[in-house]
Amino acid sequence: MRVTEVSKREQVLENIQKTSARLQDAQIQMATGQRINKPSDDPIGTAKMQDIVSTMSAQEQHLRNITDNIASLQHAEKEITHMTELLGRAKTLAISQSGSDANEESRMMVAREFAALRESLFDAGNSRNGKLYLFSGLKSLSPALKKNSMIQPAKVETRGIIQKDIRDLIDIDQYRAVFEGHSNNEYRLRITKGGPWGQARCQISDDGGRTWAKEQVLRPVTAMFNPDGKQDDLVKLKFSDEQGLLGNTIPGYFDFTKEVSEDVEAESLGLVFPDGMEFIGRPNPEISYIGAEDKKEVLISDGLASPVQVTARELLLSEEAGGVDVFSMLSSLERAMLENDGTALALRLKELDQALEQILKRQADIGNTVREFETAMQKIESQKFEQERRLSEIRDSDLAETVIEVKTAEANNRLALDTGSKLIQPTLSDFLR
Amino acid sequence: MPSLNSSLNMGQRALSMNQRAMHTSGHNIANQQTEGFSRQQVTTQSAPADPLGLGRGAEAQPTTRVFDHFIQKKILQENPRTGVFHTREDYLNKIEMLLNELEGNGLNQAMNDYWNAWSQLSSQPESDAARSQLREVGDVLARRFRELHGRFTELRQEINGRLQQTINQINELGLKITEFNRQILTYESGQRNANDLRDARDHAIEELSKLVDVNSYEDRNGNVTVIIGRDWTLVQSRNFFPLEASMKGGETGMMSIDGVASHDSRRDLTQIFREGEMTELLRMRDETIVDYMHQIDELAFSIAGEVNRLHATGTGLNSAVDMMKSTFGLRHQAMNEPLPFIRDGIFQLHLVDRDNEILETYEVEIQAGADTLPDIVSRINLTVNDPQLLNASLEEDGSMILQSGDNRRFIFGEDQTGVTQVLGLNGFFETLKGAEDIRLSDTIQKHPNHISSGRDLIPGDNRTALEIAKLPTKPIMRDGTMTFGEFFSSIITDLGLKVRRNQSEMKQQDNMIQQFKEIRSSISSVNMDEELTNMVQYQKAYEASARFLGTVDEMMETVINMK
Repeated sequence: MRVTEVSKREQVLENIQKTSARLQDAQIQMATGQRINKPSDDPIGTAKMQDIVSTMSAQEQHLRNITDNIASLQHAEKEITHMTELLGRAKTLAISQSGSDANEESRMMVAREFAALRESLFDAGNSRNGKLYLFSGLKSLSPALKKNSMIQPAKVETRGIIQKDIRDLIDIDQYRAVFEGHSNNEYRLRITKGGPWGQARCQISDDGGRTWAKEQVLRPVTAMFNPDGKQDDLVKLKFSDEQGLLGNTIPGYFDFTKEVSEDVEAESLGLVFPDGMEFIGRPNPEISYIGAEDKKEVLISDGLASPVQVTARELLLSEEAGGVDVFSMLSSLERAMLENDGTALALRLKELDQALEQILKRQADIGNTVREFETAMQKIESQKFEQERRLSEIRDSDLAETVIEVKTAEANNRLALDTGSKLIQPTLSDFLR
Repeated sequence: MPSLNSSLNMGQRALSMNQRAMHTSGHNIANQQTEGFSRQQVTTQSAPADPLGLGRGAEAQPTTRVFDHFIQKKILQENPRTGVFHTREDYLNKIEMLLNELEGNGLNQAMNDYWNAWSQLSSQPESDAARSQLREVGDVLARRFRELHGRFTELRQEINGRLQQTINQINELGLKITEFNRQILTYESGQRNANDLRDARDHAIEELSKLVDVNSYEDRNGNVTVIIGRDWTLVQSRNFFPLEASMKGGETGMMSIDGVASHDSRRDLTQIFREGEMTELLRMRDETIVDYMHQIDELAFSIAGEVNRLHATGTGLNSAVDMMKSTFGLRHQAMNEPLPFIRDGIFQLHLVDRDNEILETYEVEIQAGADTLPDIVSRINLTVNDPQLLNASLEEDGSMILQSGDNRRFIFGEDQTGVTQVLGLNGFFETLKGAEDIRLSDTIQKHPNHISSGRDLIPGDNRTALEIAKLPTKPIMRDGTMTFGEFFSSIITDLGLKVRRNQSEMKQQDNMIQQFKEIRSSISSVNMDEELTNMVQYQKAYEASARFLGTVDEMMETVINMK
């Protein structure tokens, strides 16, 4: 093949170009310390890097979420421990007062302490971390527990009245009544035989109408316990409003604190209770839960959210089977003390154990969550190391390798220049005289 | 018998021929670096003998250039492909720079920050700082999208500018070729070879072949016809039909290319080019970059849509309102068509009082594919049935307004239909076109407390924020096969692979072209040693011819001095 000046020149130029390009690449790698400086340097590696960077960034956020919430979790754990202490104290007291060596005086003293214990438990249920309530579920900016009023208006039900004309004519407002006292049960009083005070007869149910007690005379104040059922609440049905008046039908002289005696004239009472009328008292616990059922969840790993709360309902007012309403249980105990009723006390001890168990279960739950968080935290910390190593493996250039590459490229470049200069210089003209 | 005079003539011809050869060598040496130059040579022929078979010396033929038409054709064929690869390399590198995440402040980073901010809000739904932070990074994300869109648009405009230059280059070359056609015809009419003009014309065509795909042929008279693209005749003997940029038709601001045949006849040629730099510029501008823009749009749209869907049914801190206008208005014609993108089902409106207690919940039933916007408006009013409490109405601009009265405010509840998302009610982002116009909704911009963290106005509720924070781990893009991050990664990986493939193809193509050019140069280029050798040879031949003349002269002297 003919070698010409142009091809010589092109060849030399190309050699120099190639070696300088290689030298430049090596130098950029050297200067940035990175093997990948743009996606095309290693497309797959770039995708991997992006994935790792995103994962690391998400994990940093998970770490922040954990540290944000672990404090209130630990706080909740502490408060729950406090609750178990309170209940433990209650148990000690209850045991000490259930024996035969306890007397009325000591029981009165202990009853007062029980009242204080209930108060402390209520406060514990509403405890806060900063402005956040610990046990209110999602409604973490409002308290978890609320004390209910003793007084609750009774619902008057006329559907049971057999005569239709009476049912239609009746003015419900005249029969206004209130339930007084706290209970988790629904109470009903049903008129079985119509008539005014002292003549009308009624039946009582303390379980929402499933079982009914023996018939009795209707009185202005009726203690709502079902002698056949269990007697644990102190709820009364009073035919009065808070001023002691019932509509305009009860004479002023009527003494509500006493039962109606036979000598009061039925006519003067005016009000006649029709057959089949019912007075219904909704469950009215002493303390009720006003937080949310849903719990706050927090992301601690990709797509996985973990609940960071237990609710006061789960702790203190459980509605599950075998669950205990701690407050009403304590009230019952307190009442048993006040009434100096040792047997009732002994009977309740089992419930106290159940309540303790219920709280300990939640304590275990929250303890598990705390440990889960701590594990997640450690995992993220250790993965961070691993990921940084992988990132550097993909992205960073091997220093020794790069140095050698730069040196080699430099040498090649020098060589290309050197041979180029030799190749281009001589022509025949140099040798002709 | 030859006369001495004829010998003198013969010697004189030999002298002038060697002089001519020497001259040609000089010409070759002078042009050894001229682009497109082919070395020339003087060919000689022995002159026909006289009737007695006596030679009459040498005759010079016209000077020719050493040139291989076949290899030149090959180069013309491959040049346009080379132009494609080089231009593609240029612009892919630029796109790569736009999308380069390795600097750590790109779109991927902004997306990560954004999702993290939601996660942070779900972790501290009561925190004002988390809300402000979310608004900031949301704004940054939207801005990154818009910037990226802007950069892509700038790149397209840059290409537009370069197209104009390319058109000018093509016209210049076309004009040159036409002029060479004229000169060559004139020069060669006198039995001469227009070697240098032909070299220059071939070179011009070769230059042209880098820009577009070229077909050229020479007619009997030595005129070339040049056809570019599929069928546009740029040059035909002395006629030149130039290209012109046209702003008419097509996308606003993006020029198309017209061929001008005569004063009042022109044709749109944008689609006829197959290869060459200009073709790749067009393809880059109208396909490659647009494709990337669409993918970024798709990403922006999906993020905005998914976030808005969850956001619409959520509530922030005290975020109930007594008036809300939908972001998107319908055009007049669309009013009577069923609202698109919705599903069958109900959506809930909660009426709340001043203490954020829910007073009333309305469930509005929607039939997808049947209900128009006016239908939906009247359905809402029918469901509420009291315009004093809550009333829906249509605005002039085709948007819907919800308004509550009587000291009531309202929020959205469950939405099975997507109506809130489609109309742009209570959204986080607003966008109609994707990356181009994505931004925070006005409400969020002004009141970060309206960022939905939970539902039903429960303070401390983090359910909505949690749902949104989970979005980046869900496969949503491309029919539920990729997460947002994976989708973006795939764009980058795809680009990287494209760059690499182009690099290797370009290398191959360059090598091929290089080889052809080497072959050409081995045939046509000047070799100094060769020329010098020739010079020595011509010089010696000249000297010998002179000596021959001297000898003939002596012989004549002898004849004249004979006594």
